[in-house]
Amino acid sequence: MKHTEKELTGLKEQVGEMWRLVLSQLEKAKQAYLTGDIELAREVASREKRVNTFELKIDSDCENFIALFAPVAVDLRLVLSLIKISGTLERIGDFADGIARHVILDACSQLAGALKEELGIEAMFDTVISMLSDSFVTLESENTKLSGRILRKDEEVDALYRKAVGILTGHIEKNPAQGYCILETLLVLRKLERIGDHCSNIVEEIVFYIDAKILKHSKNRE
Amino acid sequence: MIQSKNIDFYYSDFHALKGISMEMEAHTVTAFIGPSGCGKSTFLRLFNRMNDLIPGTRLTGECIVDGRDIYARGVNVDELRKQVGMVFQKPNPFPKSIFENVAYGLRVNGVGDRKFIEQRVEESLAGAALWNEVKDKLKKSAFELSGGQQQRLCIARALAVKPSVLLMDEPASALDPISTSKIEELIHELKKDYTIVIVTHNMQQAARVSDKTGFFMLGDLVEFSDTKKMFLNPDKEQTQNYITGRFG
Repeated sequence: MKHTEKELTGLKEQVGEMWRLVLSQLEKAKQAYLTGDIELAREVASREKRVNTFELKIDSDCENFIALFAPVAVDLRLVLSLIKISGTLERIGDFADGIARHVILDACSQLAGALKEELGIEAMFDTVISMLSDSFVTLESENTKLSGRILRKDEEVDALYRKAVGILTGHIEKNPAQGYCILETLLVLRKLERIGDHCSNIVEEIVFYIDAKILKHSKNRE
Repeated sequence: MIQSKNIDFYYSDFHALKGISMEMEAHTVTAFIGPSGCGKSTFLRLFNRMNDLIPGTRLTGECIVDGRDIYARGVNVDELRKQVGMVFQKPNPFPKSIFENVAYGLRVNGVGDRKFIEQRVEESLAGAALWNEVKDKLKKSAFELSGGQQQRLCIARALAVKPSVLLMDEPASALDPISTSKIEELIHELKKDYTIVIVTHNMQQAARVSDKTGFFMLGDLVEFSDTKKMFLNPDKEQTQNYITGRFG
């Protein structure tokens, strides 16, 4: 393997490690939220700094690679994508941390399990987690076949979010005393919806790297 | 505009260029890249018939400069070389003064009007971004100039006979980064008035200075496209392997 390829492989491996960490943060945030496990939520919050550290290190290493190797073509596209992907993973990590802090605040312990189920929160968690892991597979395999499926999942997340907002609107009218808790729940849902958007952005970056196609703001993304 | 139509070129039995067709628009910079021995310099030198000087060479196809096949019968090669100037890898000033180096082309073409020559020398040196550095020492030997200044002097010498095309064969490969940068800036300026074709081994230089890039390998023109496209998303895997350093 040539020196340039070794450097690029190293960058990809770092982003892969960050990806696994963020995925684990998100899975733990889900478990903590659904079960009200404050200890697990604290673990997520405490590991947030590691996500930030990854982003800084990857940024710095990518800057050095550009400065020293002057990459072009597929190498340039890869480095540009990795910079954007690590920034996006950091945002997803922030959201996982935000959800964990919501559990730590314990603002919504009175929210009935049946309502949580009706809102489809677990389904939203599962969908964004699968989007994040599928996009990782797409980068690792350098095969963009999965990308259309991942982008469609973002639409599922959006639909779940809109439905949940409708349910919460009805619920707040009937139970105004639970207003604060409902708004907190809405914020969690909003975070999950944004994670879906960020996963779509990651897929767009991977398609840019592998196929040199720009999906961003394109109507026909599939 | 410069154009080649189905050019094949041979050094005796060696088939150096294979069916090369391309068009280079006026007032653009075209870069040729490729590994050593790929044919890029051979192709460049066709456009002012420099290869005519090598025994045993043979050409088929058409080489068209400003609408005229320069290998057609009756073409005056001296006239052609006024129209198509060339700058080489190593600066090659004549053992004469700075002034006489630039005036040389005019004198050998029979120009005797001193005022006209002085004016053209100044214009050419200014065009080559050298006037301010040499205006007070025009009578000094060209060899007193630095390598970068000598290369710009050679460019001024080429400009003095008012060519429409400038061919540059690795014009900055023997220069330091500051002189290289001056040559690259100059190329940007000169393309307003000239059509420029440059051969370079420096990928970043090709990316910085050219509008279009042609990638040659083993005598074939593998890919010819906009420089931005070539360096972000080349069509051919061979091109990608070469420009990313994975070649071979």
